[in-house]
Amino acid sequence: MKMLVLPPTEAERRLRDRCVGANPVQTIEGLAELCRAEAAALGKCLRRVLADRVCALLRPVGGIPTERALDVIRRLEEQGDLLAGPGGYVAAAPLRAIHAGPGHHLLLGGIDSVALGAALGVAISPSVLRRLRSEPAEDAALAGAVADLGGRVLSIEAWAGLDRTPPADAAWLATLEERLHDPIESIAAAEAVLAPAVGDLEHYIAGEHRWRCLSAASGSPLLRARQPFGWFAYAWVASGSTAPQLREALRLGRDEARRTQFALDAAAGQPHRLRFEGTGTAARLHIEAPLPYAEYRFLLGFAERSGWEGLPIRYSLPAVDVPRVSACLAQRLGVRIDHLSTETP
Amino acid sequence: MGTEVQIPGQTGAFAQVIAAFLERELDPAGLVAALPALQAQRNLFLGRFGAEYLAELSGAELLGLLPLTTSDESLCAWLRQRRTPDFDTGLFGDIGDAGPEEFGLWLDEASGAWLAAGPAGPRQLDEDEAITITLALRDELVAAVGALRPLSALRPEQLDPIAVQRAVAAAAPRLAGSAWLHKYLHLHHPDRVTSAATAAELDAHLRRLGLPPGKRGLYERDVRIIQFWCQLPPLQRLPPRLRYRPGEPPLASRLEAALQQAGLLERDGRPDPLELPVYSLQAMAASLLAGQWGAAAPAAPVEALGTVRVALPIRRRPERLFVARISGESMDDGRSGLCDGAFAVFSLDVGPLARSPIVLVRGSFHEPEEAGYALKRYVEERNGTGAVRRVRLQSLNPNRGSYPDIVLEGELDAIQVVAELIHVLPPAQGPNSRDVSSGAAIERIERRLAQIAARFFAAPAEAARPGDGTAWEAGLVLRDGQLTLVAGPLAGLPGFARELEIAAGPEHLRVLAANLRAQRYAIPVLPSTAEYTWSAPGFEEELAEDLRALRVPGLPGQRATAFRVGAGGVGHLLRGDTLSAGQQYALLVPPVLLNETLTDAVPLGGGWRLYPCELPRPTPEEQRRQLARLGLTVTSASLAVAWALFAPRGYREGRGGERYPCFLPGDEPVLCVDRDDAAGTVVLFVHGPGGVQRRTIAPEERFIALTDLVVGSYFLEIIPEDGAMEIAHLPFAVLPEAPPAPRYEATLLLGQERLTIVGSSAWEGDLTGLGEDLSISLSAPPLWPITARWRGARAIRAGHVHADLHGEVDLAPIMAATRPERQRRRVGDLLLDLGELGQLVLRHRRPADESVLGDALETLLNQRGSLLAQAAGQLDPLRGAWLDPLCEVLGYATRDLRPGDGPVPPAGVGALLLDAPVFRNEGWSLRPAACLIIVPVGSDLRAQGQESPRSYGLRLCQKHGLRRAVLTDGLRWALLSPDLKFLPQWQLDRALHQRNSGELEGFLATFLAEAQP
Repeated sequence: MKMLVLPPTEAERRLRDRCVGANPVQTIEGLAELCRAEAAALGKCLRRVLADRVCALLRPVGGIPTERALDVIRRLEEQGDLLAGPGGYVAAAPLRAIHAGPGHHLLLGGIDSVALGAALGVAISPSVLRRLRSEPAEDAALAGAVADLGGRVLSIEAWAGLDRTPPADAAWLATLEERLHDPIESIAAAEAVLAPAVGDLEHYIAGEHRWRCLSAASGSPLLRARQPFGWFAYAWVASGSTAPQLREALRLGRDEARRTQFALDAAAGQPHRLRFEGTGTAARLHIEAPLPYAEYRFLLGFAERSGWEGLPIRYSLPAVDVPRVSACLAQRLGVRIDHLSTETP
Repeated sequence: MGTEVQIPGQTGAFAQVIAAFLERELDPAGLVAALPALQAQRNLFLGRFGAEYLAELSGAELLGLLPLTTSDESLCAWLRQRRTPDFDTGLFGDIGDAGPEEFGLWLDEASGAWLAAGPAGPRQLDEDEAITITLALRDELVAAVGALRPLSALRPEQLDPIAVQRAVAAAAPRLAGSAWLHKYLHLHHPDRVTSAATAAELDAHLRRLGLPPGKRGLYERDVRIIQFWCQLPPLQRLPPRLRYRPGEPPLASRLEAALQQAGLLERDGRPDPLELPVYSLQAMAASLLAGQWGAAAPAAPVEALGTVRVALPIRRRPERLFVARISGESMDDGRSGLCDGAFAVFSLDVGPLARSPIVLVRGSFHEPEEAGYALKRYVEERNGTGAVRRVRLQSLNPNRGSYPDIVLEGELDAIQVVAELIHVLPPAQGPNSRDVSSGAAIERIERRLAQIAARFFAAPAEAARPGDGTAWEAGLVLRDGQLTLVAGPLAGLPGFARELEIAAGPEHLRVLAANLRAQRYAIPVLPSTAEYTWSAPGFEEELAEDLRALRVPGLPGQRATAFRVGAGGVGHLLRGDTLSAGQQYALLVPPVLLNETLTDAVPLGGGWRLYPCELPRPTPEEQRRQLARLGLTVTSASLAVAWALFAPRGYREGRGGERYPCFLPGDEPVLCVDRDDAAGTVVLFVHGPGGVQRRTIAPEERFIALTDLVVGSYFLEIIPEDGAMEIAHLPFAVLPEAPPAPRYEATLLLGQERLTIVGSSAWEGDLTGLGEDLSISLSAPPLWPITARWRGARAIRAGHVHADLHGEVDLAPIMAATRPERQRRRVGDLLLDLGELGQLVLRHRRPADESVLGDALETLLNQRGSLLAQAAGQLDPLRGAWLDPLCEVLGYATRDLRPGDGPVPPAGVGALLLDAPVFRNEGWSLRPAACLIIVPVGSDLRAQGQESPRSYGLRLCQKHGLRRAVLTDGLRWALLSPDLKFLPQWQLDRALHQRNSGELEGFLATFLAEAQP
């Protein structure tokens, strides 16, 4: 063993090298890299502990606020590099190579890019939070290398869950009606299904893409009520002449509710609009509502979320992938696609 | 069995140990027996100096009676030094170090003048001034006694410590802090004032009781001490004035030993360290042959280098003490500790030289114009008349050839005895004092590092077992924001101990003993001031002795407890209350500090809060003040060492639960060393597979990369020369290969069958005893989410769980949620949805068993037979008690007809719909299967006609699109179907009583729900 004194510049250079050339103090790519590596080392840990550890590693070279590390960790959870558990725990996710097209793979998991690149024999190109591998050939070899790292190659549909979830269409609404009358389900009055509600029950106003109080308007059979800790509970109510809160209702999960919103809007003839803006080889997608989970993950296979606060939600993606993405979203969610070209003639 | 002591707050653990100590050590009869003699001496004192008597005296009389003079009969002389058979002042506390200036007035023996203490030092007084002062002093003594007098009527718990302190301070503003008044008041009010002399002694006493040091004054401390002792049951029979005696010398040392043995006091703990100045002078412990002073004797001016906190084993006046470093080896006899480089405490008050003390002497030893210092034993040799004939400055080193004595004869004026050696500091306690460079020191450090590393990295196989010379261990750490008790491996824990119980105050929790036998195990616990004790339920007595080693002291209840957050985010308990700038801590704040506003503090229950605290360098004054309010201090000097820049490959845990990073060969982990300039030399020692390596870190060297690492365990220490700074240690390991990454796979073990969950798959079998007779376990990537749903006669969201750190999934909630359906129903599906990993459907199929079904029906008949006799043929009374459970046994769920949901029934006839589970679209749903027509008792089931039940049943089936109706009065059952011309009929009670007749077989074959496995 030797002890080698490093000048600060050399220390920073080594830091960048370990973070695929990105300085984690200055870039999200670098910080994400460090978060993945520390999460992989720690195993299961509190999100806050992981953020503190990352901050501690960077303190000698200027440091970052803990909130910034927490923000990146949450994004990695949403993307699938980290797994989030109850009580604020996070853990490195196993490696998955998501096959999104010939030779095109999205690499997910807690393994750091240096180790991953060495194992796969290719350079990993970080694109903000996402890590991509684009090699036109040798997909078979990739499967073996990924398996050696404990991972698996998955199709984008399987990873996203498109093969396990129904599209948001009339059939989906019919299913809800069927479930509502299936004695196997736990059916009760809507106000009981949504208890303990905090504040008024709200209708979803199909076609207007918004929620309004029951007392203020008549709306779709989709209801929601805020719960004591701030989240919403959702229900699908039976049709009838009595007050909606007294009608029989089926409890829905958040993802089911989102899917229902898209289906109701489409059924009302006012589907959500997705706007693609093309700028040469790149495109930007604007979405006015959160997507159901499966479609959201499908989108992540091609696009990078670029706006994180408020609506519309913005994504950037290669223009070449726009047709596939827009076709999928239109088919599954019934959305209307607007294509805008921002290229100057 | 020890005495049960119920004392709230953080002193509970101490109280338990002290109560046990008292039972062993206390001789109440002896104490009481000695009381009359003690009281006689006290009476003698009060007769001469009592407040009532002093109040009557004139100024001139007081001047001769109170201050120190040449007479041994003054008040001060009695208080400080009188040790005669009639009055031994030592029995009432030792204030031998109290100076006359603390009293404020004294007679200078040499000049015969009265002196008074002043801001600029003693000043000479004429007699009138002296009388004025002595009157004022008298007034304070008398007023202070008067202030305490009303308190004698109160019980100890009624006393307000702060009010008592204020009362004394108001009565005696000048003397309130002095040992003179304290002892004077003790002699008047021994039940309210202890015999301790100084705040330091009282704080030491408080520390022995687990109480925080005082901050107000002597009397506030007294009251708290007395209140503590007066609560202890073993002392209730003693007069109050004797109750606190066990906490004072001579019993105090044995009590401390007991507390140390119980782990409540640190073994090297000393009461209240003094803040002593460190001087630049080096006490030369060197000699030259022929007794000449060494040429290296220092002659530089003496400078104060700073201060150091020192815990002294003996009481001395702190203002007369200082610390200096020893240079040379002439006083090193292997036992004295006076070795080269050691630091020692000296007192400027030199006692009688006839005792041959070890002293610091100053003299012109080398050059006439230059003075140096030497440390020697001062031995006087006297002639026949008693005059000093010769002085021998004696070396302790037995190597007389190298270190001869220095003999001074007739030249005694050439030297000056400057100070007397009081105490040699242990190596770690020296200020600016750590020897990190001498060969001996390096050898010592390397040896110590090897021992620490061996212990830290000890494998579980080498774990301690009771009786093998080492003890089981347990300790508190902070992990993932929770206070956690870490214990184990408990090798040798008998197999009959299935569970271990941990108690801390009212909290009791149990853990499986198997979890602790072979591994270290972490158990989240609530913070408590009470000791964490262990027992083995059912085997309390057998294992009490072994489990005693696992006891962990409770947390302080009056101040925050600091945990230093190390690598891996684990917080390690700090024994002391001193924090270092540049470090990250988590503070456990007790409920008593509830009023302290702490941003981002997390409640932990019971009023305790967890407060993350990062101390920047330098630490802002406001943060220091806040920490002071929490009972913590921040050292001014600091050294922060941490891993920087790169994440390790993994973490492991040392024996104490400390998490350490692991790297791979080829990794070059980087340390960052941040320190104050005052840190002096800082040396990095690394104990690894190749032995110990060290490197001195220059102030400008901040990043240290460790390169060319080979596989093995390493223990790294950064040792600052400045003894006031903490030594930093960082264990780490280099692994032969990277720890395994989480695998993208999930496996279900079902009995002996192993199912890999990939895509959508299914398994079919009898799930009745799932999780019981049929074992089930599921492994998945750590934290992987799993959703479980049951779909059969009911749809149940059976749970949303996550795999744990090791990838094991706790399926107990899912088993519990589905158990009733699995046991009641013969069919149903349990879906385990692992998202992208796959879905597994466990199809529950239990074959119909005539014997089991018959038993269930017979049991029902036996239970409800009497009801049936009365209510047969009536829907409402039969519904809940008979029809519903019977239909459930047959596999149906009953459902009411809605108003208008069919033809009007004939008089006395009722109807229900029977739903049965139907497997459709890859899942179960309940579908209407038949109508159930309840007919009056005695009516003919086969009767025909418009108003017959049979006709009604057919019309009802037609209305609901069904092809089966069941006619019954409860006991008679008939199947009605448009397809059947004949109406088969069964008598259920007969079928059950005559099982061999074949009637039950026919009944079940006809009426069991259509869904057959």
